Amino acid sequence: MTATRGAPHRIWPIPAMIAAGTLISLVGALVADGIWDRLAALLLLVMSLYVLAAGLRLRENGR
Amino acid sequence: MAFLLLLCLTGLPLIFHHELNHALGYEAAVPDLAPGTPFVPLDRIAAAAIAHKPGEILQFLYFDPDETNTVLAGLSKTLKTAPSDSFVVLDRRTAQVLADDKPGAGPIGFLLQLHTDMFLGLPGKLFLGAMGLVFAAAIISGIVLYGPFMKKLDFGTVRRKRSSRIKWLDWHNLIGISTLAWALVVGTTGTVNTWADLMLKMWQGGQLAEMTAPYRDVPRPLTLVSLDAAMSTARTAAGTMTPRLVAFPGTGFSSNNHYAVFMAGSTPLTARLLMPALIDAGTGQLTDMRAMPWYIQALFLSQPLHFGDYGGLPLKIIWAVLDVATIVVLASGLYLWLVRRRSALPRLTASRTLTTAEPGE
Repeated sequence: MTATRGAPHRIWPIPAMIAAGTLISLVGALVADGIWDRLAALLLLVMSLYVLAAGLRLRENGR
Repeated sequence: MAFLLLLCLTGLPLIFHHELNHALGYEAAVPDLAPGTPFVPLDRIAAAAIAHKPGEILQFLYFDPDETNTVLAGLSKTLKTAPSDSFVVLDRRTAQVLADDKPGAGPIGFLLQLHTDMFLGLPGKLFLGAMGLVFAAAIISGIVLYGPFMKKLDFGTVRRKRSSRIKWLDWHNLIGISTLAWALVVGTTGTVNTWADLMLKMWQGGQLAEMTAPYRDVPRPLTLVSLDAAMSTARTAAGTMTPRLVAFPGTGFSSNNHYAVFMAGSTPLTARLLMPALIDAGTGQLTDMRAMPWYIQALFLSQPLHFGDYGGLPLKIIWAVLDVATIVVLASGLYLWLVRRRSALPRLTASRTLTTAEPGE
């Protein structure tokens, strides 16, 4: 996954999905109980790990 | 920036305030009794609390939904003193005193006060509330700057082989854009929490005054009706709701003539929204019961969303992770600003030297 001039780089769709997932998790845990609390925490954890992995990943161009 | 870092750093242990207070011995140890042991009458609980603090007046009883076998009593030298001078935790099954604390005691109490008002009272709260708004503005400006900075890069790119400044700029952008929804929620709900005292005063002067208006000139009853009778009336009127707090007549949360029983709903959401039932302290009759105004409801909902203590330990842990991520964003932002300033200064000095040297040459 390398940057190409003029091509979309998903700099907006992924953060938008993470933001939506965060809001769903926070509100979901507030209005529901039990398993939904754990699912909300799991979704937040998965998104955090994805972001961390994206930052640590070595790019094809050596970045 | 320094205040935001202070808020994030002090907020981190506060996420686990319950666990830390328990570990440090600031939580009452509840004795193990046979399951189903019945509760003693509340009048006996109230009498035990008063007997434990001679010279102080009982202001309220609070029923913790997570610790149903205990009740917290707030007492003070006068009815109107807020916050209370003493907190006493009692066992609902025996009326035995389990703990006796000053509000805000212990290291967690210290951190909480540092986090909420920096020991400056209402001005401190309002200042930190303004910092919350600045934080929200900084997040929005970060979103605006994210596009231009990232236009030639893929999402998640961190240029590790470039300079330290570029590497931290990429991490700042990546973590900042990924945690913006959480940071906005926690920042704005924190600001709403700093307005709690003002909202409470608004409610006291508005809805509560309206509900107790017929009693404005009526003297306080000489003998108060039984607390258990008042609670029973409130329970009957509120259906499936359960009592969360009882304010005694003459305190800031009731009138001279009423017990104010704050009832909570039974679903995870409505359990956070309170409905005051006013019980005539002389006759034990219900005189009014209404949902609280929208701004108080917003305050009640903003509290869990700020503290992150509403979804059990897994959510608390992820809340702490996101708090640490925000600390990284703030610290890297501060670093980037300092590096940029340092590199801009020699350029500025050089350009000034050139300008002043030109006329003489």
